[in-house]
Amino acid sequence: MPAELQHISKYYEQPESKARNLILDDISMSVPEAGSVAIVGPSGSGKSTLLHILGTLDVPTVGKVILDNRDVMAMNEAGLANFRNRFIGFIFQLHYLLPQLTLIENVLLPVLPQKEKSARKVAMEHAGNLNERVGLKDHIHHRPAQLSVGERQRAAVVRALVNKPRLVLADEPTGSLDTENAVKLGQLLYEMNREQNTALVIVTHSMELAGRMDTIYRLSSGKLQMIK
Amino acid sequence: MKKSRLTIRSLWYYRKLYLAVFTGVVLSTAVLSGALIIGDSVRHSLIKLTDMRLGATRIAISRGD
Repeated sequence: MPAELQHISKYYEQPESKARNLILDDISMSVPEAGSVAIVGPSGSGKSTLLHILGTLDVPTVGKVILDNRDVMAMNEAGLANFRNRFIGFIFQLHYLLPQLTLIENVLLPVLPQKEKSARKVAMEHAGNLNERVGLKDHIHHRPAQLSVGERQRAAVVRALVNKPRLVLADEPTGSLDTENAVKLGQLLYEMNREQNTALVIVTHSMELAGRMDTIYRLSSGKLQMIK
Repeated sequence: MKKSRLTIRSLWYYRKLYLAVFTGVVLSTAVLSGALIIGDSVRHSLIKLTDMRLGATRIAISRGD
């Protein structure tokens, strides 16, 4: 099991009244190996917070996050950063490609902390294959400003997959795209999940995108409910 | 992709911004330093002028009103 959340709660205390603002209330879920999960729900329901906790970018107030059978809360900061770099791929609503780098350099950024030359070489070959797979082979020396919105988001997908992560987390990946590009990216994410054997968790408002996933959860009022 | 390459690319890409900040820092430092130097110089000149006018005076008696 690549990812598991055990009794996760997240709340903020109001500084003056000491009242608790409950975001997530005793949530447990697991992401199966090479499985795909969608989390839907209204804006402000805590979907992104839940994804950030799963991606170790945020910490729960209560509960455990188990990734690759390890309690990530017990890791120190450097160990966690290294683990996150190798184990998790992130795709955000905005592509966050660096404007000063070419597409291939952006895609290879997650490889930067790796010191072994052999690992870098493998990642470069993998990046080449992925770029070919998503139709960006002819654009690898282009800057983000020279790419279309859909191409930039596809580059973000390749960047998330370049380290061969076991878990890919996508926070509204189609949120900044038009309908046509959103459908294409949804299809690409679905196919990459199948081809690369990575577990995929998507937070989305799009029921069309969520419908492609194996499991759908709905998050509302801090509670998670499986609807598929 | 190496860290040095990322650093050089970033410095070059944002060169206009960095140049503007550098120029601003140089100009503001020059203005402030100049003002302080001139201020000190004027104060020194006034003290010297007063000393010259007073001559060898050591004691001054005031009426007290």
